[in-house]
Amino acid sequence: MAACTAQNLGVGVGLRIPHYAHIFEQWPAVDFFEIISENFMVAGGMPLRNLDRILERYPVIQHGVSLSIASAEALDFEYLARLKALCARTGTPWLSDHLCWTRAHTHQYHDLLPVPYTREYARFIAEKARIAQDYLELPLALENLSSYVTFRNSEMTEWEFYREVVEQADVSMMLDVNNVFVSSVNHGFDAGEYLRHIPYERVLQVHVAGHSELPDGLLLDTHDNYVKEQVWELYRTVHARTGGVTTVLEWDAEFLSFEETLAEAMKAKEIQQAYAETD
Amino acid sequence: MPKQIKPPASLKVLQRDFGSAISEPFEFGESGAFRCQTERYAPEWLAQVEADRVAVYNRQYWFRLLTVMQEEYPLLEQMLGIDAFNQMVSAYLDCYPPDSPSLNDLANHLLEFLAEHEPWREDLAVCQAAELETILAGAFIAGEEPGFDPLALSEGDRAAIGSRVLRLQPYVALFQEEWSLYETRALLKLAEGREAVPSPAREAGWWLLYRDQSGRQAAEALSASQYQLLAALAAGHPLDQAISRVESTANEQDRAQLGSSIQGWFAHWVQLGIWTV
Repeated sequence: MAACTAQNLGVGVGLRIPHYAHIFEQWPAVDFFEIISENFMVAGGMPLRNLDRILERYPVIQHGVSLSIASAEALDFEYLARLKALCARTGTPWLSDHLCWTRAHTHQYHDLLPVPYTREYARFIAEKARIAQDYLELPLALENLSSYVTFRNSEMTEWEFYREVVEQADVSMMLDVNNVFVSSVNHGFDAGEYLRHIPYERVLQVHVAGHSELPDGLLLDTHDNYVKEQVWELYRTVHARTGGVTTVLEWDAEFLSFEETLAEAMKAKEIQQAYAETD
Repeated sequence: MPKQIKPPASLKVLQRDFGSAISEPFEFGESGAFRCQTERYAPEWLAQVEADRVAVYNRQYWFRLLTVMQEEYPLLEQMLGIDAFNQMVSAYLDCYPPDSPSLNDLANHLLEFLAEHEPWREDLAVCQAAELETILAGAFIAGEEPGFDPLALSEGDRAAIGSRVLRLQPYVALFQEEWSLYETRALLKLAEGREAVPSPAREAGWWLLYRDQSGRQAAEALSASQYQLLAALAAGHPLDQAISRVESTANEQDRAQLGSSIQGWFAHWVQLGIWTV
């Protein structure tokens, strides 16, 4: 087992608006909350008031969607400066975002878009990631995507590309096991093979989430459902390899109550505890 | 800034083409339903030559943006109807594609677009509704500056307050309407179904839009004189000049009471916390 060297902060959930009322009344026991950075990169108002209330009682980890590390465009240092300021406000121990592009030229697509897996692109993206991490002065963890297309000019598998980027950049991984599963079904590869090639000493955090299936069998990363058993199975594999790593349940639509959401997240803790009991 | 390496040329081209494909506007049918124009996708760079796969991204792109606009502009959606609203948003975002990493900035050019394009430029109610909802969205996340309290002024400064320029907090705005837009929107936010809320009636109104002490959106109806005074102050006129403007348009009876009225208005507005230094 490649021991994960990152601190295990436990199991948390994404902080979402429909849950605020419950959280602010009940102050439930949660190890931490994960926030979407962009939701709080505002000048003022209720988003920041709510965030400050959360920060009084809970640790917060930041997860972003607009770093666009795989964009051909240069890094957006105005965006990075605001992101860094938010990191200082939250005290997040690390920052994660996706191994994807979200903008091209001046157009922002507000989606997590894939690239071909080539050595040239890996070198380019790794350099940007290294610069971003140096600027942010925090560990940067890149997340693997769910994707729906692959490209003719890819030279390697997704897991080879992912590993190449993080090792060249000397950054960390935010391993999303639901995304591994969704992409494995959509592109016909073995999810187990993917996980056999992950450098687990670089995995800072894991995401679990639900997904949806289209009539033609394509899976979509919708975060609007319970975590499927096949994804929990991948999570068990990751846990066995890491010995335990910070875990977040992402649930972003078709919301359940906070208690139901937390109960789903706690399945991750049950898995961790089950392993601890057999060790 | 650290020097960044030159991007691979092929990556720029791929992202330009892919981006162009997934942001292709839907084609709207007569019924208002829309379809992806998959025949426009350029599949030569795809390993799986399946337009449906690119259509997933195309649908995600538009559904995400349409959803954000529907949430921010429920009044505009009600007034136009959902299909016409979606077509308007599609036309707007085709004209002004998102250029900010924040979805809060999606409607930055909406008022400009409506004022420049048919048929909306002819529809004053629609333009005013868009203005109202744009103001409210901006106020929700606006910053806050140090508050202004005239009671904290020295005696000398208080005596000279007439020459002072008072500024509104970034989260405060004034709104003038010719239809009952604000109240209709307030009803829409509470209603289970939007069909139950009647369309705005033709009715002039003036509003002070702000955030209350708990950070929530709030509004107060203003008289024409109150609006005129606040508008003059917001435009940068010193207090004495702003008051003179209101007095000059008041009738004789109102002018006699204006002095004590204005004192009361100010005391109330200071309590609301709408001024900054």
